[in-house]
Parts: sequence; structure tokens; C-alpha cells
Amino acid sequence: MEEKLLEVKDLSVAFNSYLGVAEVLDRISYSVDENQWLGIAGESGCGKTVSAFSLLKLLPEAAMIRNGEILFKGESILDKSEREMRKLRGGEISIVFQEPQSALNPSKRVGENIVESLRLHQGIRGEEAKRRAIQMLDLVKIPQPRVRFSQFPHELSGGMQQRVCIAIALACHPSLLIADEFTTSLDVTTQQEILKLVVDLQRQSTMSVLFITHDLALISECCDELIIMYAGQIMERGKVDRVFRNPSHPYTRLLLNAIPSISRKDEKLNSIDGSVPGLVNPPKGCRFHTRCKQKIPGRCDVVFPRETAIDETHRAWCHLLYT
Amino acid sequence: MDSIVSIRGLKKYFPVKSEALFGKTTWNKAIDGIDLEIQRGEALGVVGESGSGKTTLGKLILGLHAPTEGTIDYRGHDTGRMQSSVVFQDPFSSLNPRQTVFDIVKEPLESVRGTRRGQGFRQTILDILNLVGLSEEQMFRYPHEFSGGQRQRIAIARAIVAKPLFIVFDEPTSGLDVSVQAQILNLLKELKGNSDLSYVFISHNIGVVKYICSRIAVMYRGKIVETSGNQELFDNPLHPYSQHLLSAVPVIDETRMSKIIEFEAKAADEAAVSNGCIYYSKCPIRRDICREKPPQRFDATEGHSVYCWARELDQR
Amino acid sequence: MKENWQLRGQELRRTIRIILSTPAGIVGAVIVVLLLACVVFAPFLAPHDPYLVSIENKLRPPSSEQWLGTDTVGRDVLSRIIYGSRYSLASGTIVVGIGIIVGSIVGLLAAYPGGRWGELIMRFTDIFLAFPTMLLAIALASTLGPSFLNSMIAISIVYWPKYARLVYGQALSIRERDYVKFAEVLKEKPVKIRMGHIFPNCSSALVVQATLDFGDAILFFAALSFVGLGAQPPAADWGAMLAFARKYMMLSWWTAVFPGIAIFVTVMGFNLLGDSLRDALDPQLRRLKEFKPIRFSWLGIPGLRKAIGK
Repeated sequence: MEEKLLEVKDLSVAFNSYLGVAEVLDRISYSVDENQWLGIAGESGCGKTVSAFSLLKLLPEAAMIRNGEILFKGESILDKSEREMRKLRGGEISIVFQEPQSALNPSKRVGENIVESLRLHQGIRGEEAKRRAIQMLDLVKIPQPRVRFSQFPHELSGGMQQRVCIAIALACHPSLLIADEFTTSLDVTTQQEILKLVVDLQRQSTMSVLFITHDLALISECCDELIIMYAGQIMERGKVDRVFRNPSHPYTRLLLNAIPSISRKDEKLNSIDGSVPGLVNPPKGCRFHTRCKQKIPGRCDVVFPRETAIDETHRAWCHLLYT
Repeated sequence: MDSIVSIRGLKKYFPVKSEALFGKTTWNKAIDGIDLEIQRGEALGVVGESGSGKTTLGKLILGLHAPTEGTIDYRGHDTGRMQSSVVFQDPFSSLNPRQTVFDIVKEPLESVRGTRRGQGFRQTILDILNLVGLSEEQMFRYPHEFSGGQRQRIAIARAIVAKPLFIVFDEPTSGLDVSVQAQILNLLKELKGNSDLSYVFISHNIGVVKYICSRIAVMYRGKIVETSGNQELFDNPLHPYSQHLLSAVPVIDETRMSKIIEFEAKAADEAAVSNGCIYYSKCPIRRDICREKPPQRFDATEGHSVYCWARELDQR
Repeated sequence: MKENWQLRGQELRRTIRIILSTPAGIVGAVIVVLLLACVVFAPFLAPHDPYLVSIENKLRPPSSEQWLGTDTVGRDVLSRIIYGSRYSLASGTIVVGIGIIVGSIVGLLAAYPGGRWGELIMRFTDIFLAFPTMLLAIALASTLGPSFLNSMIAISIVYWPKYARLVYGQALSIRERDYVKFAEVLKEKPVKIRMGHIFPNCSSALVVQATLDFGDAILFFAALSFVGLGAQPPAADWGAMLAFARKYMMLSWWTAVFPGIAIFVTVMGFNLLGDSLRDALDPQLRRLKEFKPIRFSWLGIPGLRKAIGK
């Protein structure tokens, strides 16, 4: 049994909003093994980003953690003080965001952005820090790292900026990298290059990656396991090839058939009626029941289904699976 | 062939002011010499990455920009219907927040018929709203009460209500969730049917374009590098850029990360190739002629043309 | 079209509810409502005739008979203050009204479709903005001759460029929205695009600015009256009252202090209301701000919340 790097147990998060209290996460549990790529997929408002941000305790003020615990290397994150968290962020757990231009300090040179992170987390300064920063730029395959070191972020293309962000994230050898839609704002060709870069870097080290995206195809290309979320609940979880070959939850099945792909022949797309429900007063029971054609009245809209094992790692949460 | 829009030698340059106070103005060549025909009743897809000029092309076709050079001829226009219409990407900025759905959909009708209050508008609008999947009771609501997908339905209703000859879709589903995107794509396919309405469908999502379109044009840096029938492009892409682009599109399968064709970004002097092919510096099959002369259109097969010297020379 | 009105009503009630959810909003609203009451019901509220001179009663201090005392010619200060609200409100309305109309026209013409002419119009507007406002108003008012009407003209000339700037700035961003682009595809006339699409979307910013400026305009007018260029004697106007009271301030404080307080409270009321109106109409704030309605019993006005409607 591999050691669990990260465990999230029964986590519930709610947000205060103008419209009322939004139940953003509803008792979700998952774990990340060492050296593993875990993908979290889902549509907007499914809670995938919130679940990642709560690992770093970076939730907005209006958020309340209702229930549950988060264990990182056996230690509870929710009990840590803000000072301890600051050490953890960017050190043991790093994050790469969707928008590289807002993640880099625009008034500082590319190199200073990296040096700052090295100084804060590893206490490396001066020439040594500069040497390390250039080394990092080289590692993320930025051509002419010495030139780039003294340029400003806006002089770099989006893809190059994202490489710099990855360099910063990896500078302190994190054991967990959270990649939050980090290729979404990039062009497909750049996206593929960046993804390949991170895959290569991950293989060279012992680092787990939590990859959050709405694009199932990207998950199929790089992840070991995936979690399908919908409106704050986990619908299905398992090894990527198993889930894609044998999707067990109706939502996963519908979602896979709703993606227009270049490998499809001219079949009709399967659309899911309606839209993602609001999270203020969400549907009871399984939140997907309002759009599910196979729902069982009196069950799906009353209680959340229990976990069903499809095989040793593949799990789904649906009433249809045990009736 | 019955073409409704005919584009010849189209160029659009935007001035880029230098950061220096009296610096020289340079030109951003958003569209740099395009010839294109839009046929009656076809769904033409335009794909390309950011900066390829696909959105600018859409705006030029709609008349929202004046071309720097070249002509766009519109044919087959009759009075009483719109020449062209458009559905934009962002469903939150494309609808006037101070107008009800009724007012929004009424605007093209008023404009085309030249009246402010014709009878029968209400029925026409109701029919259109039903067609796109909205109900009568939603007719007098304001845009902010709708979800993104519903707003895009309103925008589609507004686009088709005055029976345009063609509609430009500028990334109409990229702001939507996958499940909602499928609804909208199916709706668009249904609306198109076998009618003589033409679509110009601009998107960076090649899967979406493949689903909707009958013909696809690939753009790179302000130029069209390849046009082809839908399936033909995927079976037999000719331009090296098209090949690179298609190989980068993520697909759900188990062959992880194996299929991407990697090109060494050859450090090339950009200025040296300003006379030649725009893809020269990255091209794996480049020839000497590519740096001297821009490639000409070469029809590989009926309806499949490519702008590439290497392909042309190979086939000769 | 009944649905239409119902929805607008809903929107209005929601705005009012948000305004009344903060202490500042409540205080502002109460002050403005009181002022409006004074304007409408002045003849019923005022205990005496504000213009009745009685020399034998001059400079009486506040008493149970005349709550705020009498001025140099024996007129009742309270009554004059109540009547004075009419001048103040009129000055605010006229100045802000002219400002909005002229400023909107200029701003819209300059912003859409834009180009060189738009630039030129805005540079011309900038010339007006470059003058020190008070000096310009005083110069204009004294050139035109001292009277209520002329002071209104003078202040309006100083005020419109501010609105032109505001509308111009708003319109610049709105003209890039896709619904304007759609109207352009329809080849709508610029006038129709300005009035149908751009102006309605500037209006909430205008309403907020107008409310904030209302107090400012009142203050401006009071200042002109104070230097003798605004309302002319014997008009019951706060600024003019202050000017008169100046000489006797040391002996009879009440002639100066109460009109001063009236001006202060009115201006503050409009500013508070404008501030909370801005919060209420800002869709961003509206969505993000944690919404905590204040319990009205806390203010000792139970039932008010019910009256406003849920």
C-alpha cells in the first residue's frame, strides 16, 4: 500500500453570498498518492477549484468550512496557523493558475519573480539564487534563460509566462503541484507543449499533480486517476482508462457523449437538458437528478447514493448501480 | 457554384504605436491577403489560434471593420431580409441589459422592415423563441435572469429572426459548459438543416468546427493556409501547420502523450523570411523557394487547396 | 406589457432594500425624505409667514414661541429655513438637470462613433474643466447680473462638463460591447445606437453621480447667494440668510447657525444617499457583498421593513 500524500475526508464548504448560503462542496472525499496525477474534472460551479483552494486555505472570507478534514502527509491542514500555511504554500504544495499574467508580478523582472520565491521558502539569496533561477528557466525549456531572466513578464508570450509560473512552482521541489486549469488560456499547440513539459518534469521527480480542468481529453492524456464532479459532489472516480472505457455514472456517460471531438464521425451530440443548478438551495439527494433521465423518484431526490465499487479503484455514486 | 460572399486580396493592418514618444508606427498585419468564397447554404469553419486573425476576418465580413486593401462582394441580397448577422462569444456582453428579450429580438425585425411597430411582430418573435427553446413567459424578462446557455439562445434568436443570408458565429460556445455547449451545437445544426442559410463558424475548438461545418479553412498569422472539405482535412491534412495543429488537439483515448508531433522551433531570422512563407521558421518540410516567394494557392484535389510550395512541388 | 412593469418594480424594491440595509443609507434617505416633505408642505409646516417683517420682534433668541428665534427684521428663522428648502431643491434640480442633459448630449456625441470629432469635442470640454469652478461661476453670475435665474445659468455652465466626461467615459466602454456591434451589423443609425443602447446603460452611473452632485450643487448655490449673486432679498434662501446674519453673528448666533446646519444636513443627506445608491446599483458589489439586512427594530422603527416589502 502506497502512502497517501493527501487525504480529504468528508469536506463540506459553503459560501455566504448575496443570494444566500451556497453549498459549494458537499461531503467530498478523495486522496492523492505519492507520484500520482489526479485529475478533477467538471463543469463550471462543480467545486473543483474550491476543493483545490481549500487545500491551501486560500478560500475567500465569505467561505465557511462546514465539515471534514484535510490531511497532508498525515498532518491536518485545517488546524495549521496562517504562518505555517505560508511556509507550506509554494514550498511543499505549489500551485499554477490559469492566468499566468495575473500570477506574475508585472513590475518585477522574470528573474526577480523566481528569486523572491526561492528567498522566501529556501532562504537562498544573491548569486546562488540567480544561478538557481536561471537553472529553473532552463529546466522549463525557456530558450535563452539568461536573457529572459532580466526581461519583464509582459515581454513574454502567454506560453512563456506559464513556463515561468511552472518554474516558480517547482523551484522549491514541492511534493504536490496543484494545476488549476493551467493550460486553458493557451492555444492548443502551446497547451500541448506545456502539458508535455509538466509530464516530463513530473517523471523526473517524486511529485504528485492535482490537475483541475474542464477538459476531459486533457485528463485522458496525462492523468492516472480522475474524479468527476458535479455541483459540489463527486459522481465517479477511478483509473482514467477504466472510467473512459466503462463510465458507470449517467452523468459521466452523458458528458463523454457531449464532447465534440475530432475523432468522432458525424454522430449527434448527446446534450444534457437544463443547466448546472445554482448552489443556493441545491437539489436534494444526488444533485444531478434534476437533469438525469434515469432518475428514480423518491430515491435520487432524497438521499445521496452510497459508494459502489466497480473494480478495485473505480467507484461511482449512483442509485442505479445497486437496484 | 453560387457564392454569396466573395473575398479578394483582403488585408487589414492595425497601427501599433511605438512606446517611444515619437516612435515609428508599425503595422499589425491581422489579415494579410485572403481570398475566400462563401457559398450559399454551406457551413464554413474558420479555425486558427489566437492572433491568427480569424475574429478580424469575421468582423471584416460583417462590415464592422473597413479593409485596408482588397474587396468583399456580397451577392444575392434581397430586401426584407438581413444581409448578414452575428452571434458573439460572450453571452454576457452581447445582450443589452436594459432590454427585454422581446425588445432584443424585435430590433432586427424593425430594422429590416423599416417600421417601428408592425403587427405580427409578437407572433414572429414568439415563434422564433419557441424554435430556439425559450417559452412565452420568458419573453419579457431581462438578460440577467438567464443562464449563459439561455442567453446564447436569445442571441441566436436575434440572429436568425430577420432571415439573414449568412450568420457569422464568433466562438459561440467557448464560454459555455460542455453539456450546454452540446445543446447549442445541436440547436445550430438543427436550425441550419438543409436551408440555404450559410454559416461562417469561427472557433479555436476544432472538435466543434468539425461537428458543425461542411468546409474548413485553417488560418495562421493572417493568412489562410489550407481549405478543405470537413472529413478530408482530418484524413489528409496537407499543410505542415494544419498537421501540427491537428496533432495537438487533445482527444480522449489511452495513447497518452504519444501522438503529439514535436517540431523543433528552428531559430530563424524572421525578417529574412518576410518575403517568403509565414510558416518558414517552423516548417519541417521547407525548401529554399519558401524563403523567397510566398506560396500560391495549390488545388491538391477538388475542393482541397493548400498554400504550400513543398506540396505543390511534390505533386508536379 | 404588464410583466415589464412588474419587473421594473421588483428591481426598484430591491434597490431600495439594499439602500436601507446600511445606516448611512437610512440616514441619507430620511434626510432627503424630510427635505422633500418641507418642500411640498412648507405652508403647513412653517409656523409663521417667512416674509412677515416685524421690527419690534427683531433678533429674538429661540423660544417656545419661535423655536429658532427671529432675524434682523423680526422674521421667523424656522419658517424661513422651511421655505428655504424650496430654493435649495430647485437649485439642485435645475443645475443637475441641465448638467445631465447637456453633458449627456455632448458626451454621447463625442464617444460614438468617436474619431477625430469626438476628440475635439472632449478637448473643448476639458477647457471648461480647467477653470477653477467657483471663480468661473462668480464671474459668469456677476456678468449676467445677480438673480436666481442667472446664478442657475452660471452654475450649470460650470457643471455640464463633469457629466460630459462621465458619460463619455461610460460610453467609451459600452460602445465596445457586443450588443452595440450587433446594432452596427444591422446598420442602425448612430442616433438610435446612442439613445437605444449606450445611454440607457450609462444611466445608473448618471443617477449616482447626480445624487452625489445634488448636495454639491446646493452648496454651490448657497455660496453664490452668500456673496450676493444668487437668490436676492427678501427671498428665504439659506445662503442669503447666512450672508445677512454674518454681521450679527456674535450677538445673535441663531440667525447664522441654523441656516448653516440646514445646508450641512441637506448636503450630507444627499451624499450619504448617493454613496449607498452607488453600492446598490453596482452589479459587482451587489453580487459579492455579503448581504446582511439590518434589523429595523434596532432603529426603533418596527414594521418599516414590512412596509417596504420583502
